[in-house]
Parts: sequence; structure tokens; C-alpha cells
Amino acid sequence: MSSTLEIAVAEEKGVSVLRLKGPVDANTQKDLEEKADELIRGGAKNMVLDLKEVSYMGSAGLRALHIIAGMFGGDDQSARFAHVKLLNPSDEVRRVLKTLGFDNYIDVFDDLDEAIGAF
Amino acid sequence: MISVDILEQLRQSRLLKSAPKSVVSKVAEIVETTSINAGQTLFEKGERGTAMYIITQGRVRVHDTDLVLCHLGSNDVFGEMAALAEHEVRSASITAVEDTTLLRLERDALFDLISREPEVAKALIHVLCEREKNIINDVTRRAYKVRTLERELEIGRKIQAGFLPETLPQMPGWDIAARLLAAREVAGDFYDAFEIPDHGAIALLVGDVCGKGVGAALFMTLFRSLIRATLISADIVRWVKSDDRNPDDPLKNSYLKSHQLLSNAVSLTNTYIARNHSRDSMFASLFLALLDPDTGALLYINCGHEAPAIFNKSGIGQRLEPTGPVVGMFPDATYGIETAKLRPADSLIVFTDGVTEAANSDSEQFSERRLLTLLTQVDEPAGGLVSEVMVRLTDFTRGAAQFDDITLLVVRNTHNGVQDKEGWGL
Repeated sequence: MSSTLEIAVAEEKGVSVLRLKGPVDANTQKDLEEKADELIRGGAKNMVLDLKEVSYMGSAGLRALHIIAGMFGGDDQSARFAHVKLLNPSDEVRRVLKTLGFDNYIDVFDDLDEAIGAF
Repeated sequence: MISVDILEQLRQSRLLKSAPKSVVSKVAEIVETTSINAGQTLFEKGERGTAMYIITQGRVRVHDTDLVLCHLGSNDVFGEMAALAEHEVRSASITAVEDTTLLRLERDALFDLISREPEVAKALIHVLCEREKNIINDVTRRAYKVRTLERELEIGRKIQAGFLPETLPQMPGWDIAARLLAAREVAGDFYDAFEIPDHGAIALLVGDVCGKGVGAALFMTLFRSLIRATLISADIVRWVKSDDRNPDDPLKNSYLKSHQLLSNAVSLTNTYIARNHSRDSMFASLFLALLDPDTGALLYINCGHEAPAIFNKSGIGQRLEPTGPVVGMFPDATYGIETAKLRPADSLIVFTDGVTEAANSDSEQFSERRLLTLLTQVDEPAGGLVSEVMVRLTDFTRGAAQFDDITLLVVRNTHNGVQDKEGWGL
């Protein structure tokens, strides 16, 4: 099992699209946070995380989502999470999002255009 | 003609500072000046090397990927191990912190010089002895530091163990057992079981703080203490003891109070942590239930936790699915309260994902399926069942490193026959 997370960044219609490959776990959580921080400092306003090739995402991964949402700032949780959308999570990642109750706070899409259009 | 600069640089270097002038001149004949720019890596750990270096100006980092071992500056010597021993590879990487100029000594030229000038060998031996002395000092210092840290961690482990209940409630007709196996010295998982004073209900709690190690352990103490404090605070006890508003229906009052108790405990804990510790983004999945031992009625809130299961010999019954999100993350979160019933011969198991996600060396997980299958096959008291699950987990992982904390809480209704009293509308 690969233990590194590859992050490819593309700019599409003013939105930073991060294509993740590998597990988002306690070992790779920081990599994702640092990349997001770098992009936000560089002026990124909105972010789509493409999880199509994410093999595993547990509580550490969801913690990273909360930290990234917090980087955007905002008065409340929904304002912060409004800047981050998820694309193509596996059934298992969807289950984790639902179990931990993140599904009410972060939008999940199957289509990139829809995700970008939702900002 | 050798430049005066190089002679002077060699004379000042740790390699030749006590060598006679004649030796310095000989060495000066075989060195080459080279330079690396700030940020440039001279060599990587594991590479074969044929040269050693003396820094004449600048500063380099000695490192193993992102772990910095030390910094070296003017007059320092490095790379002598791989240069002197033929099959040795570089034991660390060297990267310039500033623009750096170096004097380079190639192995072949050096050995050739040594064969002619024993004083050069003396100088090298001197450097190696210095290096060894420094390493021994460093290892000793680190060993003391490690021992101090280990003692601190051991104190932390003991104190944290005090945050788990020393004994579990014992009541006729009920059998409760629990186990927590930490992945590291301290854990982010926790469990609790205690009687609510003057109420009679038994609080059951299992939680899993995200992450593991010291950070998760500190938050574990906070989550566990807030939940316990809100359930047994003096105000709550007074309120529980206060006159029932509807003395004709004590059952209903007990139900309402239990409802309120649960709701208070989770909401206050959630809001407190989400508001006061939001910078840390730490959260816990948590299952909190009140069990009425007289009736087997169970009221619960599941905050983003793996669904506990009620089971008996004939199979898995109700799963107690999440009724709200994890605690400590979303200050505006709302939590539903659900009911279940533990009938005679029924058991409830609450577990953390450290059980289901325990992996063997092939990265295969123990899985919820295996756990649930096992539950219906083992007819044991609560303690026996907990032990059996732990044994099966150990067999399954076959010594692969434990990745996450493992926690199990089992509550078994051991009443004989029918417990037909009704409670809390169940």
C-alpha cells in the first residue's frame, strides 16, 4: 500500500482543483494542509478536492478538511466550508463522511463542472 | 604554485590545525577548491563517495531527508568516512544553507599522500578521534534526554489511566466489561461506565479522539471529563433529586430527565470544545448512552461513532447508528436521541475503529464483518467476550504494528427469563 499522497493542482475557471492520489491519513494529512495553505496564501479563493484516486481517508483526513476550511476564514462553519467542495469520493470515503457527520457541512459532487458551478 | 589562501585555510581547518607546516603544504598540493550554492545538495545519504571536504566559507546542513542532524561551518570537516573506507556510503546528506566554498580531498590522492607522509595519517586519525568523541558525547546527551522523555511519558500514561474507570458498575442481572489497548504510550480512545447519582441509570461512554499519541491523549482527558462532569455535576444531581413535576407518572419523568441529561452532556461538551479549542480542529466520535438497569431500556446519542451493535446468540440485532456529527467540531451541531432495549441474553458492544481497521502485514483489515460474525459465535460473559475479541485481533494482525488505539465495551443483560418491566416507553 502506497503511503504517500500525490497532489496535482490545476486552475479551472478560477477554482483550484487538487487531484489527490493515495491515502489521506495521519502521515499525509500535513502534506494536504501545507499545499492548501500555499494555494490560499497565493490567493486561491475556492478549492475542489478531487478524491477519485484517494485509497483511504479516515478521521485524520476529515480533520485536514476542517483545518483547510478554517484557513479560508469566515464567521461560521458553513461560511468556511463554502470554499471547499469534494469531488468523486469512493463509497468508503462517503461512508466515513456520513458516519462522522461531515456530509451536512461539506458538499460532495460527481461532476467537476457542477462542483465549480456551486461556488 | 599553491595559493597562500589555501595554505592558510588548511592550517585553520580542524583537519590540520595541529599538523606541521610541511604536512599542510603537502595536503595543499592535492586539494581542489569547489563551491555549492545555497540550497544545493552536495551529496545524498546512501551515495558512494570518494572525497572528503573542508569548509572554508559558508554553512551546510547535515541531514537525513527532512531531519536535520547538525550544521557545519568554516573549518569543519565532513565526508571522511565514505572517503576513507572503500565500501562505505554517505551516512547523511549535505546541503548548503549559504553559498559555501569547500576544499575537496580525493581518496586516491589522499591515500597516495598518506603512504608518503605518515603525518597526514596522524592528522586524519586525530579528526576521526575528535569525531568519535563528539558522537559519544552526543549519544550520551540524547540517551539522557530520551530517558527524561520516557519518564515523562510514563507519568502521562499513569495519569491518563486514571481517567479510565478503576472499576465498572456491578449490578445484579448485568455484566459489563471493557478494554483499551493503546497504540502508543498514551491513547486518544476512552471509555467510561458509572452510575448517575440519585438517578439509578448507568452512563456508558466510548470515545475516539482523532489522531493518536500525546495530542489526542490531552484531548481525551478533556472530552471524558466534560462528559462526566456534565452528567454528575451538583446542579444535575439536585435537579435529578428535585420533585417530579408529574408525580403521577414517575416513569415519564425519569425518561425526560434521562433525555435531558444526555442532551446536556453532549451539547455542552460539543459547544465548549468547538468554541474554545477550534484552532486545534480536534474532535471525537463518541457514543453516550444511559441504561436503565431495571428495564434494559437504553437512551443514546451517537456522535459520529461506529455504530454499536445489540446482539445475542441468534444474531446481530439493532445497530445504533449516528444521530449527529462528531463532537468538538461544529458548534451549531444538533444531536438526536434514540432508544433501544437490551433484553435478557442480549449484549451491547461499543467499539472504536481501531478494532475494525486493525490491519495485518498485507494491509488487510480485521473489518466489521469479522467482528460481527465473531460476536454471535462466542457465548461468553462480557469479560470473556472482550478477551476473545482481543485474542482474535492479535491472531489476525500477527504482530503487525498496531496502528490505532483499540477499545471495546460490552454490556450483557444476564437476567434469567423475561424482564418484562417497561421503562422509558420501551
